[in-house]
Amino acid sequence: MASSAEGALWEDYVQALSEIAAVPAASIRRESSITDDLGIDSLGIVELAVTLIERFKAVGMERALGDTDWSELTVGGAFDRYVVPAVREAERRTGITK
Amino acid sequence: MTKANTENADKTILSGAGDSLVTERAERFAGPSLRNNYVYLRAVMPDDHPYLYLVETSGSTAAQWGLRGATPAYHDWVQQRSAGVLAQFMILSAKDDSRIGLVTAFSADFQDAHAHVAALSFDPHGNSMTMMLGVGLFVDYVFKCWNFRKLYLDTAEYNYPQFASGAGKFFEVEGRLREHHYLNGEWWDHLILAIFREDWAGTSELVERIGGWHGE
Repeated sequence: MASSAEGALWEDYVQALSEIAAVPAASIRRESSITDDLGIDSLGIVELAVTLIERFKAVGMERALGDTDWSELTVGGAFDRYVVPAVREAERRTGITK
Repeated sequence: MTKANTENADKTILSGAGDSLVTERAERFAGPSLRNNYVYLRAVMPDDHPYLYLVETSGSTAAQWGLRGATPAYHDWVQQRSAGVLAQFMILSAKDDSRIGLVTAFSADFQDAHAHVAALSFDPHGNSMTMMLGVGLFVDYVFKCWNFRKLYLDTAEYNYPQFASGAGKFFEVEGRLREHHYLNGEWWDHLILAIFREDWAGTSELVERIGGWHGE
């Protein structure tokens, strides 16, 4: 079950994607492809990776960066794989789960 | 630096009070890096030639890049490929040494302080992040080795969408030749992009930061 922290982070995440892709946040779906649907190009991918790692403290992305096939990654897939574990880890450390 | 100044600096280092000075001097005299945690650059070797020839003549995007569909004789291609080249490197994966791409600086104009750069990804559908990191290392290298004011990057319009979001951030669009290229029954514009030295510092810092992440 998604925590409220996870829900709030999803909103921030979609907003960040919206700014990088220059598309309205309302048009972004979990199943949207990062490259094909949002049209994020190779330099946009660099921007996205920096945002995920430095702003959302994405877990595991640093090591996976050289292997990630961004064309196969969906909006929800990237969130579940890299951002959610960061939230869980933060909640585990603070002992807070809302 | 005068002899007295050098002696003073060395005394500071020897006294153990100059750790930061040692670091500062080391950084100042260090050459540009050809490696980060994800990719590294190495010169093109004769062993690379057959691979490059096949990519440029028979790869999935051969008609879109470099030779534009032509297939010169191999030996002619080898002889001509370094004409006008100032620097050229293969981009390789730091993880498994696989070839990722090729970067080239050419047509250097030292009087007016500009040169052209080109980048060829061997797998245009592969990991664009590592390719971009390789290109970033290379542009940094060129700006640090030579005092160019700006670097030009020429591209056909059909390739531009792959990196168009960088306009105004990483490069400027300086020129457009209308309907300059022919491909697949259509005419496409030719774009001349420019990377300015004064704008590169921010990108250089970004490339260094990403390259310093724990890639392996």
